[in-house]
Amino acid sequence: MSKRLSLAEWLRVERAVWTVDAYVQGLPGRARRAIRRELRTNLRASAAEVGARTAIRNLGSLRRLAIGYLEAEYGEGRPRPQLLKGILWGSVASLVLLVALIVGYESFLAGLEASTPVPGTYRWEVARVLGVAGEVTVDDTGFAEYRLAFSYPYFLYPIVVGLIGARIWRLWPVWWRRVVRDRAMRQASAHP
Amino acid sequence: MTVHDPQLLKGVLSLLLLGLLAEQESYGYQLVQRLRRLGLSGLAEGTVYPALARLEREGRVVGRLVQSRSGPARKYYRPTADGYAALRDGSAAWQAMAAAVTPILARPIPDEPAPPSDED
Repeated sequence: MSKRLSLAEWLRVERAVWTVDAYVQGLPGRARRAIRRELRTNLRASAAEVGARTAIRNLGSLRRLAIGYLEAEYGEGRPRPQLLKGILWGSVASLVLLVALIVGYESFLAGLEASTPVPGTYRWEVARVLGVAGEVTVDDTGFAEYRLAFSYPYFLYPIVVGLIGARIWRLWPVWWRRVVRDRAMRQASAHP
Repeated sequence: MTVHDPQLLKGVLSLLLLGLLAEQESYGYQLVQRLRRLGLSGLAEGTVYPALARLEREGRVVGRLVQSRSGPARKYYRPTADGYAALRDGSAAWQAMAAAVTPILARPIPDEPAPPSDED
């Protein structure tokens, strides 16, 4: 006979659902939401009969379940996006960009100091394409004010490198199948 | 007797799901219960849910959300035309296989294999 779930049981179910979600990180958000929703519904129905602990045990290995979902979406042995690789490539790209900008800006400042500048504003424009612009204002007393401005390309390049590193295009067939499936489901729901 | 060999089950699980869904629309946990009532008592739910997702990806079943009195909406599945075709083909293949395999496995198992003969 089914019963209402206690708070502890509800939390156990949520923990199992989110553990599986963590394992299926390589799926698009839509697919993950659908898996969470369905798994939660099934687990709650099962937990209402046998208790959350047994319901989760009856699922078997959560990791194995997640692999099953990944294989169901991509097919067995098919290439999948590599989220961790994407994060790694994005981080390396940000680091390389940062080092290049520091070296470039230091060189600009060294050149400026070496030329004993007259009062005025000096702009470092060469890195504008990378989303960074520098400005040094020298006043009559020889005091210099330094300014660095960051714009969107500075953040865009590492993101693009990260997406390429993650092989993001491998999500496309999954995303498209999901759109087609959702459309079929809406039609089936509208005309049962 | 219960079926516990996951490898044996893996080959026919899709067919079983299609067969049960052809009889009645069901949601994931309901299918698990139906399979258990039919004798697959050791069945792990974790094998059924991805199998359903795979059938849906292959376009063999379609799901629809139905409001439930006891909680969130449940996703009920039913076979598509492709699903019915796969069920018919799969059932025929399974029965042909069972017809060949069952007589062999139904024979009494000898303690020792017979010595080699020159026949064949």
